[in-house]
Amino acid sequence: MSSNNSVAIIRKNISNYLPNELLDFRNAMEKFMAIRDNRGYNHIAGFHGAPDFYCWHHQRNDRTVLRARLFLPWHRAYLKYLEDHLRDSNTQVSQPWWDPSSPLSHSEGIPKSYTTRTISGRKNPLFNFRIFVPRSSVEGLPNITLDEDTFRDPSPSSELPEPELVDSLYEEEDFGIFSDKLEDYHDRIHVWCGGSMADVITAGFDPIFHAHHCNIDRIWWIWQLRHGNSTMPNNILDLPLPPFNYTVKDVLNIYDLGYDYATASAEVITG
Amino acid sequence: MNKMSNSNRKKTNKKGDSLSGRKVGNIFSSPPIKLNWIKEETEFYRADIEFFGIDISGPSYEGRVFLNNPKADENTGLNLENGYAGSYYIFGHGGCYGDVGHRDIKPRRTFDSRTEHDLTPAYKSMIATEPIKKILKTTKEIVISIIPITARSARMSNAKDIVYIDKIRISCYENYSKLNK
Repeated sequence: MSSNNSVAIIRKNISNYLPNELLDFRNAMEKFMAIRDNRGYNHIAGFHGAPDFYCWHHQRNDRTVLRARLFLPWHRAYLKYLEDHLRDSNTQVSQPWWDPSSPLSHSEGIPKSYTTRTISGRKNPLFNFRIFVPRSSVEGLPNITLDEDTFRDPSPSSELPEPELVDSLYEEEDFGIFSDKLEDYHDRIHVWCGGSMADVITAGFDPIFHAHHCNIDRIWWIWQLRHGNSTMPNNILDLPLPPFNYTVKDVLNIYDLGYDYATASAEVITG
Repeated sequence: MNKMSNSNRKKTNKKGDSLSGRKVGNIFSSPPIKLNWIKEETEFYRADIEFFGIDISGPSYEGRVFLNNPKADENTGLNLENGYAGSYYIFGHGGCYGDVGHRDIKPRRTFDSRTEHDLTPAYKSMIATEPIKKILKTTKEIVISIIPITARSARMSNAKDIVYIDKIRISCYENYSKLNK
């Protein structure tokens, strides 16, 4: 693995955000969400489920030797692309990660920064998002335009998985086994969140989706640091990750993508 | 071999525990799986249950897996005594958003390595050594029941027919490190 000397972006734990960091992140999200063209949140979030359905879940083509597991690489590319556009208005912000197995999550569930409806009288952009996916109407067929707010209906926080489950993931040595186990953990969080997060069609529009997936990506990265990439099948390394201009091997090293994960981080401009 | 964690067996769901508003679909029951190849002297250190071809087009759900417990339901305790083997989780599509034909999955040739449709059924597995060893003390036939419990307020959370699985396989593994001694 190369070093992170050149990394520009530090993704931090949302529970450790300082008030000014949270304000900057919310402001950037607000601007990002207000853009309705192909630079905006509505468009890019739509790569996952409706209307584009590029997302990759579980291994496919079980009957062949390929058995491609692109769940982790595809979502890494997706998060990177979305984050680049988020930072268009403020290069100092990054996406946070949310650990649903932490003691704090077991007491408060989804982070308060995402569940507060308004901040100082203004709508909290992390609370929800208005999905708008128009479809041309066809006579005789149902209107399936999506024009709705995302919402959550979480189960009790006591039903979130324990940290020991995540610890057990790091013990796996084979990428395939690890990927399947981590994906099941990921599925469990979607089931737990309920509402828009529980449907592939709408999940990518909920702002908590990306904090959840940054955590999944973080767990994969920690696993990579421990076990490397040698158990990743060679025959998937050159597979493309549409609609992004990456192949699997392009996203194996997050330092090459320009980011890293930290519990917390701070910097000061000195010159 | 892909192994889903069985750590959720540690959950101490008591009988009568609420489902927190989550809905229960129709219970899936497998035909008997015959483990006649198990002999008395057969030793194994791990037993896995694998689920092939799980439909993912419907709602997100937790599938609670019970062995040889035809009375198992959403209120059954999640413990070895009740034959609980673990849970798997499905992040479901939530129905079809497209037009006619959007969700049709075309069959692929066996060695066609191109990527498949995003509704290609999923694969899950779990380690279930203890419950299988317990059952084998009395019978070599195992019937698997799956209680599907949907996510709250998902698009199809009121659906009933949720669990479709093409094939279930049980495999027991010898302790190779022991054989090498």
